[in-house]
Amino acid sequence: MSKSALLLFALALFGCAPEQPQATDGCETLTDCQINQVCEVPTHTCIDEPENRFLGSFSCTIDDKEKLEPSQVIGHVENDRFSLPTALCSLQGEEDEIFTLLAFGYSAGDILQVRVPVKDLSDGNASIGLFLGTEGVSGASLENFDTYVGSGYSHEGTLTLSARPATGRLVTGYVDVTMYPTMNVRGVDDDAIFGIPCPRGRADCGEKLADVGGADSCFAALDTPMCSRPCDTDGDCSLGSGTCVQGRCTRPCTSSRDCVAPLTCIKGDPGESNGCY
Amino acid sequence: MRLRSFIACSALALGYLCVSNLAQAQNYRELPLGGRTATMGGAATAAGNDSAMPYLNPAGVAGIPGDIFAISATAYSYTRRSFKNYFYPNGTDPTWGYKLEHENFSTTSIFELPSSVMYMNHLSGKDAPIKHFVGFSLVIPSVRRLSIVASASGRLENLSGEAVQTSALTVDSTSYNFGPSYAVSLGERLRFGATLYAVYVRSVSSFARSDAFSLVSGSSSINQTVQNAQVAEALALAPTLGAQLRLASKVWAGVGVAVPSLRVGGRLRQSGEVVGLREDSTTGVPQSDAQTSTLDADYLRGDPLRINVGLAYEDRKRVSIAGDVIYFAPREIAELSGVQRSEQRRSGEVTRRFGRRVDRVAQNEGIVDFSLGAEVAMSPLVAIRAGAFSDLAATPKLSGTGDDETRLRLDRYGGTLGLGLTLGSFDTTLGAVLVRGDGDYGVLDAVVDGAVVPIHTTETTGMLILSGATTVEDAKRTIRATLPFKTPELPDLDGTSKAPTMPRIPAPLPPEDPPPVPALKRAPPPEPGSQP
Repeated sequence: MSKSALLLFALALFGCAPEQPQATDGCETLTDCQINQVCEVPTHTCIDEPENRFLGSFSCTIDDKEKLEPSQVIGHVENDRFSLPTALCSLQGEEDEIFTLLAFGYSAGDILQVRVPVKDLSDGNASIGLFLGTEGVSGASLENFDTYVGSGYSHEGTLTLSARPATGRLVTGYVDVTMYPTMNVRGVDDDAIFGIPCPRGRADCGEKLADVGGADSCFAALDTPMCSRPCDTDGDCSLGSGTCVQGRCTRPCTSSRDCVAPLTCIKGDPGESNGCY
Repeated sequence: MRLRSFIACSALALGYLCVSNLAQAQNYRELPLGGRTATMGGAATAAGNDSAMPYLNPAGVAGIPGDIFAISATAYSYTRRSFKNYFYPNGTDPTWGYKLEHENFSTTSIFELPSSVMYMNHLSGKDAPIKHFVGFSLVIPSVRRLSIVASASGRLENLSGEAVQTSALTVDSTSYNFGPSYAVSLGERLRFGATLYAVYVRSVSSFARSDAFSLVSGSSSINQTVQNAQVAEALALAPTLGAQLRLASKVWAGVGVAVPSLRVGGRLRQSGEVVGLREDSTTGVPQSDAQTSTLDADYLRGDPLRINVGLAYEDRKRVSIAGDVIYFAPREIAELSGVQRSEQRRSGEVTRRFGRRVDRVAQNEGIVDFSLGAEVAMSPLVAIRAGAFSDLAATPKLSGTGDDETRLRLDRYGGTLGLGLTLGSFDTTLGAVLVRGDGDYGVLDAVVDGAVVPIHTTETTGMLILSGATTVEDAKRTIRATLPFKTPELPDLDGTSKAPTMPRIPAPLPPEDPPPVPALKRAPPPEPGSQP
C-alpha cells in the first residue's frame, strides 16, 4: 500500500483536520509573551523578566490627565516585581521642555517616572542616564507615594516615542531602562544617607523619599557628588542622622577621616557642625 | 511559612496538558488474550491455536482443527490501587503545624469487554498435504482504566488556617488490533502465518485538582483549581509474522515477530484551565489568576518490534507445558506536533494570548517479559490450566519532570488459573487472572515546591475470563437441532460441501379424464292441448 493511500485512509478515518492554530513567532507586544516574560521589542524576542530592569511599550495622549492609557511596562528591582499596566504622559517645565512618562500599577502606589528633555526626542529616541535628583532630567525612578519609599533609580536606558510630544497628541512609545536598587545596598534598609559619595546616583542615598525627610539628590556641591537634601537646621537631616552644613544635609565630621573619600571634612558656618563635602 | 507561588504550579499543571503521558502505552500485555492461552499465562507461541494466535503467532492459526468462530472476553475486571502521600509527597513544612483531619481515597476501576474475536476458515481439504487458512480477528491486547478520586482536609495550627484539597483523574485507553490473517501448514511439522493488523488506539483522560488554603482565621486565602481533558486517537499498521515447528512428536517451538508498526496518523486534542487566587509576591495584594489552553496536534503512535519465542510440550490428552519469552524493542513510540494556544489573565497584568509549538516525543524502553503455562487433561471433556506471566513497564522511570505528572509506571506480575470444558459443540474456558503491579506515580507537590514527585504505588487486578470457540460445522448442527422446524443442510462457505439440494418443485399432476358428461334424457312429448 502506498503512503498516499495510507494517508487517504487516515484522512477518511479521522476526518479532515481543522485549520491548525498558528504559533506565535517572536513577539510584537507583551501579549505575545507568557506571564513572567516580557517582549524585547527591538529583537522581537520574549525574554524572562530581567532583574533590575524595566521595559515595555505604552500609549498615551500627552497631558490628558482624565484617562489612564495602556502600558505594558514590567520590571523587577531586586526581589520585587512591578507590573505597570497604565500610563500617563505630560509635558513639564515652564516651556513644556520635559517629557514625563508615569507608568502605574493597579494598586499599592508604585509609579515608574521617566523624564527626558523634549529636545532629545527630535529623532524619536532619547537616552536615559544615571538618576541624580528629583530635579534632574534624563532619568527614571520607581517610587511609591503611599509608603514614600524609592525602590530603584535609573542607571541607563532609552525612551522611544512615535512622534514629537505635543499637548493633545497621541503617541506610542517604548522604554527600556536598567535600574540601581536602593534597598539593601549595604545590607541594611537605610532610610536616608547623607554626606557620602553616590557613584550610583540617587540610589545610594537611602530609600525614603525627600517628602518625608529622605535624600533628594546625589548633588555635586564641590567636586564629588554626594547624597544630600536642602536644610535649614539639623532637624531637617535627622532621618539620616545628618547635620545641616551650608544649607545641605551631610555627614557630621571632626576631620576628613570621618568622611568617605574623596569627600573631606569642611568647617560649617557659625553655629553649624563641620560636615563632609 | 512558605506557600509557594501558584503560578509556577499553573505552568506545571498546564504542562500536563500538552505532554503528560502522550497517551503512551505503559504496559504491552495488560489484557489476557484467547481462552486456553489466557489461562496458561499467555504462553502459546509454540503450540497455541486459539484466538490469541493471530496476534501472538499467526502460524498457530494453521493448527486450528476446523473452521471456527471464537470469542474471548474479560467478563469482569476489578482493580484496586494504593498511593502513599498523595497530596504531600514531600511532607509539609513543620512551621505550618499541619494536622490531617480527614482523608478520602478511592481508586478502584471495573471494566468488561471482549479481548479477542476470531473467525478462521480452511481453504484446503482436510487431507491436503499443504493446507491454507484465512481468517479475520479483533484483538485488544492493551486496556487501561484508571480512576482516582481523592480528597484531604486539615488544619494549619501554626497559621490559624485550614487546607482542603481534592483531586480526580480518569484515564480510559484501549488499543484495538483488527485485520486479516493467513496461515499455511506444510505437512504435520511446519506452520507459517502472517497477520496484518490495523491498530487503532483511543485514549481519553480528564484531570481536576483543587487546593484551597485559608489563613489567619480566614483573613487571607489562596486557592487554585486545575482541570483539563484530552482525547487522543491514532492509527497504525502492524504486520505480524510467525512460525511453528514440531521438533519431536510432542515438542513444538515457535516464533512470532511483530515488526515495528507503520504509523499512519492521528490527532490529539486537549483543553484545560487553571484558575486561582494568589498573593502578589511584592505587594501581598490578592490577585485572580487564570490560564486557559487548547492544543490540537498531530499525533503518531506505533508499537515497537516484538519478538516472542516459545517452546511447548504438547499432549492434549495428558499434560501440556509451554513457555514464552517476549522481547519488546525500544522505540520512539509516540510523537506529538502541534500548537498550544494559551490565554493568561491575572489582575494587574496585561492579558497574554500566544501560541507555542509543542513537539514532543515519547520513548519506550526495551523490555523482556515471560509467560509460563501448563494444562492437565482430567478427561476428554475437562482440563485444568495454570500459568504465570510478567508485564513490565516499557516507559522510562519517572524523573520528576513536569511531564511525569499523573504518569503511572508499574511492573506487573500475574498468575492465571482456568478450567477448559468441552460442552457439546462448544469449547469453553473459564478462568481467573490475578495481577499485582508495583511502581511509581507522579504527583504534583502543589504546595511545597511545585515539583513532580514519584510516589510509590501498588495495583491489584482480578479478572474473570470467559472464552468460547466452536467449529462452524458444529455451530450449524446445533442451530439445526435447535430450530423448531426441519431445514435442509446448510452450504459451507468455502464451497467444499456437496452442492445443496435444490428444493424439489412438485411435478404437475397428470391430466385426469374429464368427468363424464351426463347424458341428456329425451324430453317427453308434450301433452296434447298443452301450451308450449
